Amino acid sequence: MKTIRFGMIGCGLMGREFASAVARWCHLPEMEARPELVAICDADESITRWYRDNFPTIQQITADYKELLANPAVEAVYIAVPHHLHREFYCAAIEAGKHLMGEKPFGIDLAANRAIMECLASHPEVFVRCSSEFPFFPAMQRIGDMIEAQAFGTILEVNSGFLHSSDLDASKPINWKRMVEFNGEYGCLGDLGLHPCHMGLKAGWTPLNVRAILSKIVTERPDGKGGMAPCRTWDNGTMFCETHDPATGQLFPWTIKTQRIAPGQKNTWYFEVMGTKACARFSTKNANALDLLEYKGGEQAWQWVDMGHAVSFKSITGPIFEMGFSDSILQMWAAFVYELVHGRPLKKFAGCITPEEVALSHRLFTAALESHARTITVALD
Amino acid sequence: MKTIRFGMIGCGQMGREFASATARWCHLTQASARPVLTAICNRSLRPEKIGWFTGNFPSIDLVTEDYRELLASPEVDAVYVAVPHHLHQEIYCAAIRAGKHLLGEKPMGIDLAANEAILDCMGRHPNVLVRGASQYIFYPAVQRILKMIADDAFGRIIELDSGFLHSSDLDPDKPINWKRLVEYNGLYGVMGDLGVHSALVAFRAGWEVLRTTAICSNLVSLRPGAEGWMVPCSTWDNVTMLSRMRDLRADHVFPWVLRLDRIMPGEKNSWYLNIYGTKACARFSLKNPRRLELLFYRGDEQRWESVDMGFETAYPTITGSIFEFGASDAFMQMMAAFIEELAHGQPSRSCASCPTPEEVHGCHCLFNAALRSNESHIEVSSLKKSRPVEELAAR
Repeated sequence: MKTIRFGMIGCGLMGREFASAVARWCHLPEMEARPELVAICDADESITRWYRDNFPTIQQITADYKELLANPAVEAVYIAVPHHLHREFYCAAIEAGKHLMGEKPFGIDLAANRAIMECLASHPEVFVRCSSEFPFFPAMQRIGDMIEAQAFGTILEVNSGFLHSSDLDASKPINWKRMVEFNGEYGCLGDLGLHPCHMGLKAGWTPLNVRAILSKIVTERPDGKGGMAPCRTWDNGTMFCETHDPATGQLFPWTIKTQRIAPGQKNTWYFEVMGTKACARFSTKNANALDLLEYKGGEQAWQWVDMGHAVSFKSITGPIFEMGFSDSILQMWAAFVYELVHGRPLKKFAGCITPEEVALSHRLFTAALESHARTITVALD
Repeated sequence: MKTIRFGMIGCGQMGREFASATARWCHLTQASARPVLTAICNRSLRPEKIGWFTGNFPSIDLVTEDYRELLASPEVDAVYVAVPHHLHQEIYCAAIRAGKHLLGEKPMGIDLAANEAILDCMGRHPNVLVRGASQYIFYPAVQRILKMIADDAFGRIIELDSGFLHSSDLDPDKPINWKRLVEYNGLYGVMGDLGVHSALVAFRAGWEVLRTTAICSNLVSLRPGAEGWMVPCSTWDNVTMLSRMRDLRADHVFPWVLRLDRIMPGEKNSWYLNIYGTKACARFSLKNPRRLELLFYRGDEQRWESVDMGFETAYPTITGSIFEFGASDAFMQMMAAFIEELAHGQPSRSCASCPTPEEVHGCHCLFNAALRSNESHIEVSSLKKSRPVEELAAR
């Protein structure tokens, strides 16, 4: 089996999920290539220790990402660092010829994203994708198949979102995602925003204009040192977009919600599409369920399907069993490795989100900031 | 970290889950020991059966068709056994006699006699840890409910309603397999296959089953066999039981409705548990593994709460607490429970330990009462009429 040697820059929560997925790659019995973790970069020794103890394949542990990128043994990198570092790190990785899986939002703002896109344009041999795992849940893969088959007919409306709730606790200490200098002006759009855009961007749906309302709800948070720190980022954002469907040429409204403060929503990623021939709903509130309505004339009935483990990249887990978050991470990494090896995704929605798709999200978020500031509808440039 | 060398007897789907969990043992952040797969035994050594194991696990240095050879290996500390039920007594007893700690698939014996023979053998080898494999109690919502039971949070129990529902047997063209054949699965039918997973909770809670009424159904009596023609399918597909229960702490009696169905349309893998009490109520189903419904009654308005459960596991992992918990995670938590108990000599908490043979024995007594009730159409005593384990050992 072919091996792809990975380096990791930024070794936090999602880095550990990646490493654990690498460790159980045997879970995917039909993959023709496997990732191997050979180098890690993080300044915090308490974070790198877990990797060192568990992954004997790691030959390089460094605090300097440039050292890792200079390592000829590294073929591909996973980068998960605060947003203000994306431009510098992602461009350096691409210039070093390393294939890249990068965390969203791919640049702290539109200018940083454009710089990354320019860098990528001059290195077309490098394979670059953005991390986003929720569309790999079985119900979403099924909805993706339906979009590809144009099963929805004329799209009437799409609603998607990503809702968290732990920030409802005003005593939760501040972290870098709540600070403009690290997370950017986008606030919750930069942090959560790409996730609810993923399916629509992959479908080729193009927002033409946006009306956005953004909210700052908690203006200061404990700084972890006994004092309070200003919390200036947007907590919640709702975007209402006039959207073009290239399959039919029709326009439809797409409402996208990104909320850090949505009471009772622990980790709710949802997607809902209403069409003249079919409708579908999914939410990680119940990741096992897919709601469907197929209209062929006659009675209109919603159907509820238990999805089990109907994954796109074959797994050893039996088809009736429940899919978990770590399983969606494993599927996403299978998608990255598959496309890197084969030069194309297994199927359209079993591919990771592309840099071009991410670039459109930046245009949307930038227009959303302007829409909110001027209380007008803003066309995407 | 201490290493526990595992042998595996029976290399099927759950064996692969077991092996994959050992591969990502790093997922557990506070494990005090790690399992390593050193030996495997399967009836067939054809590459399509065992190639995945030998190809992915270089730690395996013994591959055999003979479980006795595996049990004789000094390189094996513990075994995971997942074989058809008619082999449980022979292989489980052999493992215990060989001094191998045993994580054995339910029902730990094809019938009550086989189960008691295993208990008897266990009693003679008290230094061997023997636990049943059942992963559903490790879902975060179920852990929370078990903790509420332990804390006596429900008040007087009004009703227990639990079950385990599958649906793929609705397809009459689904070929027969060993779980649908009496000679391999026993007279219990669906109870032997799904029953322990669901019934376990009542015994874990410490509730006593006094009497049981059951209705058993054999809905599909013929299925396609391996040779292409139809063969008899004589096991029970669905069983519903109504039991008279006693809460030993309070000496209250309450009803328990237990449904074990292979054929319940639309239910892919619905393990569910509903408990109604005078102070609190709780509802959970794998139909929505994230949701826990709770009602706390303090004399004011009666309101159901719906809570999103995340990754609040008994054994801490690297996965963030807000994320979705899946079947492979449950299986891994179960293995962690076995290994922690093995490493420390006792479970880290009673809610989060693997089924004990005594709990599984309670399930056998219940299933036997159900079979007799179905035959006689009367309510049958489910009390464990057999001797306690120590007495069995003294025989």
